[in-house]
Amino acid sequence: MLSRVADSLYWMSRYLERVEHMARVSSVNLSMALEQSPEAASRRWQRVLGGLRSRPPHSEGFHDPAEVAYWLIFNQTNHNSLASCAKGARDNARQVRESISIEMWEHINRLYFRVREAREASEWRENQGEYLSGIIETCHMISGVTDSTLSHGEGWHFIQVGRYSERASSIAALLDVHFAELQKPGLRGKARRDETDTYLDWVALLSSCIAFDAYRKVHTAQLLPERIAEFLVFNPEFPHSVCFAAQELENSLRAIGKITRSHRASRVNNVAHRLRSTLSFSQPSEQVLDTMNSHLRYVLDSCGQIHHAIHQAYIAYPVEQELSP
Amino acid sequence: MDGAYDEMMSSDGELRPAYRDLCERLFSLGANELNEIQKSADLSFLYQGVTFTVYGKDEGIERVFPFDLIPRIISGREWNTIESGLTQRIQALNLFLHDLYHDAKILKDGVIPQEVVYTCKHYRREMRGVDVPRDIYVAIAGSDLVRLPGGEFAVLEDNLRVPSGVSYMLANRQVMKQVLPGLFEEYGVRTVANYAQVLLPTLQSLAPHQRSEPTVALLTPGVYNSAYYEHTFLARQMGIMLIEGRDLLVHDNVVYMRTSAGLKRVDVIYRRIDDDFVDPLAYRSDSTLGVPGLMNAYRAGNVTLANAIGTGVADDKAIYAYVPAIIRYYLGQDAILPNIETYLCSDQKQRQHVLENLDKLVVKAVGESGGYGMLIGPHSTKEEQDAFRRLIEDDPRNYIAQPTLALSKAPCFIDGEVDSRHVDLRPFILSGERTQIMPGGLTRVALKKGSLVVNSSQGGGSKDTWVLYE
Repeated sequence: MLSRVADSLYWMSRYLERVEHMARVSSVNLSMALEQSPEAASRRWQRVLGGLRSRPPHSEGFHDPAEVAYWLIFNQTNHNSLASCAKGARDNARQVRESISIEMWEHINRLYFRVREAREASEWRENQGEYLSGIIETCHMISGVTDSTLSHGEGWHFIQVGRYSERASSIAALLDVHFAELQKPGLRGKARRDETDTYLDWVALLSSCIAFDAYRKVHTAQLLPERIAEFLVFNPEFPHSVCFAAQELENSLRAIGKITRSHRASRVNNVAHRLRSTLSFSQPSEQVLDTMNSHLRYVLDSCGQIHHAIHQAYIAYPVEQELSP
Repeated sequence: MDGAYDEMMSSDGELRPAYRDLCERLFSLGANELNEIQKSADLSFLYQGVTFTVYGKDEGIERVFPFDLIPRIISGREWNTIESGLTQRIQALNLFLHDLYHDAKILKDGVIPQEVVYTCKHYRREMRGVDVPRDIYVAIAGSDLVRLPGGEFAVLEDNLRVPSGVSYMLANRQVMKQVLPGLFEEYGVRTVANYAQVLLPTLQSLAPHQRSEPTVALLTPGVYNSAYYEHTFLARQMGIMLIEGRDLLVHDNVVYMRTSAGLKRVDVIYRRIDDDFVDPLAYRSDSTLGVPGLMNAYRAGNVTLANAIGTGVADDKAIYAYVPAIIRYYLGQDAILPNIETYLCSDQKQRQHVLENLDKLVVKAVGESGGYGMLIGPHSTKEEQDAFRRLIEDDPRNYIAQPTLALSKAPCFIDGEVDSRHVDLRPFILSGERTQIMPGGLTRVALKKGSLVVNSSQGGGSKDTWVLYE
């Protein structure tokens, strides 16, 4: 596979994952804002923006949730906006149209048109929730179509790598912001003034990772910060946990190493292996909240390292090495 | 335009036999239903991303290539003439190119004046003495045919560099089968769907001879090229890699592509980049699309480029005038498909005639394509004519003129009604081990009423082209 094609597949997939994540986070928080105190809602949006690693240019002016959401979703100067990511996904898909299935291209193309056309359209203003679930649905469609129409060969594995490295780092970033705020003195656990707000904050966090249902099946509706942290970070079975993403990441990187028989594969494979083992073999304890921050930092660092190592192994390796006999 | 041949009706107002069933079916559907079908066809093109890019604005705009519902029908008998005529023409042009870049006998024998060849900007001195596999210079050609008022086909121009449009031929057919499947059963329509299955072995057969199981790749200028959709389409259909210049490097006169598993040698490059851009060391040094060192690897015979470098000399619009003579010189035959009468402005007498008749003739720059650099006399203003007069006087070699042709008319479905529009035909000719022509082609339509310009960049559209068994 051409290095450039591998690179585009990886980015296409990262952008798609980002679109889905951003649509879900926006949708969850817009609906939560409806039944929460204004004070809690404004704190929440600050957290949402932090968790999405997005900083609006004039954050004080942002009080209206719909305005924040509009900026997150449609703003063209925001390179991290959902619309920018949808364009990024399509631009990359367009670069490699012959390497993805026709069905994938058509659905990615539709996603792009859907976001572009809604910008001025009434579709967004009339029912934001419905609009965003439409986007999420399209993203699910794309990943389903990808899995069922594309050979699970090298290209598919690069797509997996893009998807799961994006997922691991975006969940880690989201948790990082949430738990950091939680650990501020005076806000910890039951010390918070408003029980309902706290409850809704946890529901929002879980729902942002489509984990509310899955969590309840394991731990019942009792929302305990330790368990939520443990579930979203260490659960090996839930597809939107960091641990699950790390497993998939490791598997696909190994597969790519095998297919290409590249002698440069070992470094990136080692980083992925270390990340996965750390998460699999960590014993979550009562003190999980105290070590949370360092765990999440480690995850984010590893994702960054993997990103660079992939580049060096498969995309921009030094040609001189190859040509010397 | 008066006197144009009507594809559907004979001169006494009768439907031509090939169109009878089609008309019956289409008219039984009614305008509403046809509108629905047209809409679903248009949507299908949009979602598939069957688009081309229009230049001239700040950034290229992606547009769907307008598609007309009503197929253009060519009988089996008419097709036989086209097929043998084009085969003859391309074979002669390949012989001509080989001669030109070797002994140039045709010039020594005075069939074509030397200066016409050596002043052609697409003549490549670097190709002198270079042997190309099977002596095939033009592996892929897309000649433009027009139907004259009498009903016979003539060649308007030969596209021998990087002809495009074949993906629209295939997409049109595919959409047509989706939206009006019933019609195909009644007609015996010959398939064009196997184009890629013919193209791939054609390219493989041109591999440098010592290479077994050659690696073939398609070289595209990238997503901003107007034909990018076509490049992805063909690469996918053939199952070959779509590469850009930045994916390639040349080492010791061998071409490699950079893959995730390391460097891989490339044997045949189906290049969709003009000569000028293939190698910044040999041609335009500002080209970022090409590959430094590619020309040397090519001249060393380590890689095949299809089409070969330097084919543009044979589709120069001034050389075009000599093609019947070229056919006679190499094959000893008369041209089966006639040329359009052409005046060379480099010739003093002919130039005089052109300048006196600018309001009647079509003037074309010899090296341009895509409908650019053209004056259509009867549709032009006095100012435009004066501008061309100056251009011709400044650089006569760069211009030719032809009579304004009454391109044939075909029925089209436009704004809810059936109306006729001028059309041409671009069949695709493949030459490798042997010469093959897809039974069909791209029928381009001048969608503006009365217009004679069919180019997609100038408001043209296209329709499916049916070549019948009988």
